[in-house]
Amino acid sequence: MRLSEEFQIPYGVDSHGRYVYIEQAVRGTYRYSCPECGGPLECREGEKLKYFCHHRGIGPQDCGLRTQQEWNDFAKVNPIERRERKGRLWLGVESNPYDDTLKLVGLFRRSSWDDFDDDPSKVQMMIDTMSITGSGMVGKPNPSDFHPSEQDEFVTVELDPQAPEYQLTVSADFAPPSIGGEWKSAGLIEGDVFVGSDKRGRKLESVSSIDFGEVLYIVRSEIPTSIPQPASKYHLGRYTVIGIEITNESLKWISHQFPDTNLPDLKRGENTFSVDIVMPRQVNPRELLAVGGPPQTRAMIAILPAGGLDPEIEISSIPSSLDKPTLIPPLGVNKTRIFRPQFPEQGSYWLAIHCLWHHKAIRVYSASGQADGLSGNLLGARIGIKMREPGDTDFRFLFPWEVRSPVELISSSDIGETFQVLAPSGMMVSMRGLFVDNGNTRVAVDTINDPGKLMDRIEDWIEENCRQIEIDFGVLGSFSIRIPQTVLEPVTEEPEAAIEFNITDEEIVRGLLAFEGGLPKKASWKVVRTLLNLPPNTKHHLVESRTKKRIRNQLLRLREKKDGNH
Amino acid sequence: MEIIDLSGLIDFAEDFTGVPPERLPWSYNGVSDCLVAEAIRYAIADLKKSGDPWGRVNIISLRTWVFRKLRAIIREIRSEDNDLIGDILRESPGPNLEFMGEVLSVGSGECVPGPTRLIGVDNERYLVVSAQPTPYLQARGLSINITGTRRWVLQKELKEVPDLHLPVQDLDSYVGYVPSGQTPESFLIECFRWGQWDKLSSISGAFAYVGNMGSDEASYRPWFEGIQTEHGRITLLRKINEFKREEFWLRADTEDQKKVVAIPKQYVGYAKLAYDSLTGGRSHARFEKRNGTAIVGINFRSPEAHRRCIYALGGTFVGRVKGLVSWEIPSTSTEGIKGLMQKSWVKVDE
Repeated sequence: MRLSEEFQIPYGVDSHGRYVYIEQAVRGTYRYSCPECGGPLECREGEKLKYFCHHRGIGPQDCGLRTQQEWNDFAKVNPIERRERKGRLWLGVESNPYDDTLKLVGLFRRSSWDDFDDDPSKVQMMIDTMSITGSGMVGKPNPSDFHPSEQDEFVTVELDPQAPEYQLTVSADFAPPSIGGEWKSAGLIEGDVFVGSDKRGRKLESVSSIDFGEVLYIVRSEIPTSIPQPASKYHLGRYTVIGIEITNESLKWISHQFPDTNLPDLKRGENTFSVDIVMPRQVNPRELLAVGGPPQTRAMIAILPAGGLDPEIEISSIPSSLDKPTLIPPLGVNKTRIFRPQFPEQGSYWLAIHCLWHHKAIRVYSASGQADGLSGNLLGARIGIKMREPGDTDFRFLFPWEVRSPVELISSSDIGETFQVLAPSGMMVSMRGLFVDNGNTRVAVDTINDPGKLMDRIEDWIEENCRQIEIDFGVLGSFSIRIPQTVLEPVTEEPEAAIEFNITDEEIVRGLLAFEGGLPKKASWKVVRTLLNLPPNTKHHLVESRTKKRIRNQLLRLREKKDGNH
Repeated sequence: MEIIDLSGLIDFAEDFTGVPPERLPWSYNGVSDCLVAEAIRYAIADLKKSGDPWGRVNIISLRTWVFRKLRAIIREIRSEDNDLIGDILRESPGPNLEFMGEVLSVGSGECVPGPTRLIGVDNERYLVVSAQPTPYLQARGLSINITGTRRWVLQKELKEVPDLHLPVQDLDSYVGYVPSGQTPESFLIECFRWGQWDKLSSISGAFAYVGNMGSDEASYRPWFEGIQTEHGRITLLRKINEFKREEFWLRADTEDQKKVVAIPKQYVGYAKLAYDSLTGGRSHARFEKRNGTAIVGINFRSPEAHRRCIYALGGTFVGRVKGLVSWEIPSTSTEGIKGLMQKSWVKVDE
């Protein structure tokens, strides 16, 4: 049978290890490799036919992928198994929750109890006799990490991101094929792409899920300064990595910034099919490759072929020799296929979903007691106020609607010590103050989205003779703060007329720079009063406005200088 | 298998929410709203940023989470013609989660879960306002009933749950400001006391409100002499600023002085209704009975507190009915909503 006459290789593997159908392939050389031997494929396009074929004289010349039957046999095997049979180490990244670094790891598929014939002594034998040697590792994993009852779908081995290549040998008296043997991978290079969640990613290859909601980690030497939301920048060895969630907007941005990333067009259905975890209900629907639930209950997995396609879906176990595959016949275009695998009594098993020569794999594991992950604080966010009486050590928290009568402030000078507003920054809070100036009343209103600024504003208003402040949290209710006359009355004898203080600009600057806690953000009344050494409860109008203005101007200059330096 | 009919959707909703069918809504839209709202709650619980005490969630991530959770179940989610998730989260004129206070917007494309509390809406029910998924509440002993995006517990069933210690917010503070026992004139005078004084020049170019004429074009004119009260001639003025936002003032002209105050946002709707009432009372609400429920329709732009009260009492937005902006309300809530209208000087037709 001659290749060019009766058999063409329908899929080539692109630089990310993904299968590309001949109709979607770009003509040219060295862009695609053979899925079996890894040798370069040529994408040829004649008058009647477009096809992949091996380059003559380049790469392995004895490739086993030469007939339709050989292709059919080849395509039945899940890429995960194929990778394992060839000892190709899968790379992954894990984000550090406390800083902006990523960790490079080698991934070993967690074996199931079937791999050990449900025999705990075989597991123990593996753990007791395991030895891991090789190059490119950072430390060594603990053999007990490979236990089939552990939850993570992969055992990870930390790798040095600077290493040119990785060669690991795992030996034990007994080890399943997903663990034992020689494993190799090329080193990290610019342009590598990982895909997963905001916590971890796996190097992009044919089994990867690229869909809305997945996070792409793109390895670069340099990252553009402006990146769209939701995205993060990370450090990985000498590289910078951008982690960006796939949305319509981010895909456009990625294809513009990194045209070599060569992602599929999700809207055109180049992803072929999507898999979502619908049940368990609380599980992230895009946590592909692993779904856990209580034994005997079932997951609900939705398989969505891309628009316009109505393929047969095949679901088989990994290894593919274990069970007969389940076939879901064509149901019609745009119809969802629902599959409900049962959670095992213990450990896990792997499923491969095949659709039009594309594959995805899922580990189904037992997670008793995790039916709903019922945890956390039922009350949710504590937005409101914290108050305490003078002399008390503990604050009392109240939601805004729980503050039935106006809060009476005892003192304006240490308001933060007795009263605090709790709200997330960005939440809009409206304020309205009633002021008394020389017997006349006036109203001021403001809307503030930062709790720190809100406290500053309350303090300022009190210092400016505000008698009542209403704070409105919208749907959470509102409450009033009443400032008794006694708080505003002077405690020291003071002159009636406003005073101009004999303080130079240099003294103002020195005073501002010496402020406890750093340069003040603004020239509040408290700042002015402290700078002029005035006692608490000094009335605002007793300081001549020119002095206040000079302090404000000097502070503005200092802040501009400071911000400019940053 | 595909879940597209109501019966299939209710079966799925029972698994998804843990609520038995008799406590779930019985319309396709009601169940799909309930599922999207519940998925948003699960997404908030799953996506909250670690280390952030407020549980901030990026809204794009949240939308994608819900999209992928339910796109196989609710076909409308996949449609590019509507935005069911955005509607339920914050956009729809119906009771969306942000308007009802389950989710709070904090800017920068993020939101946080609102505090869990019960709102005593009448003698029989509490409205549950919480971003917690329903099974979390059920695990604490609450028997939840669901109407679209909203959840309720019956007071008699709540009494059977000891040591729950959930905060209770009173309906008045939840709904927001509603005038009480004031005449339209005294309300307008009150606005002068509580509004922020402004310069006369700030109302330059503003149009005067002449009363509810059925449309914005007809209800504002470049000049209107105002209405005469015991405290002078009062005019309600509107300007639309460069961000297309409306700003309102009240101006009072007496023989010896002119005063201008900016009207606080929550008072604007009432100021217009008070003004309407004093200029002939063209704003009205019509109540009609319909198969065990009632339809309330209005011909004015409702203050936020009106809408929140209608939703808290079980109303659902149904669009325009006989030319009026309308809600379907439980017949047991009719008197409460009539009272709300009358407090705001709206004529009630039956």
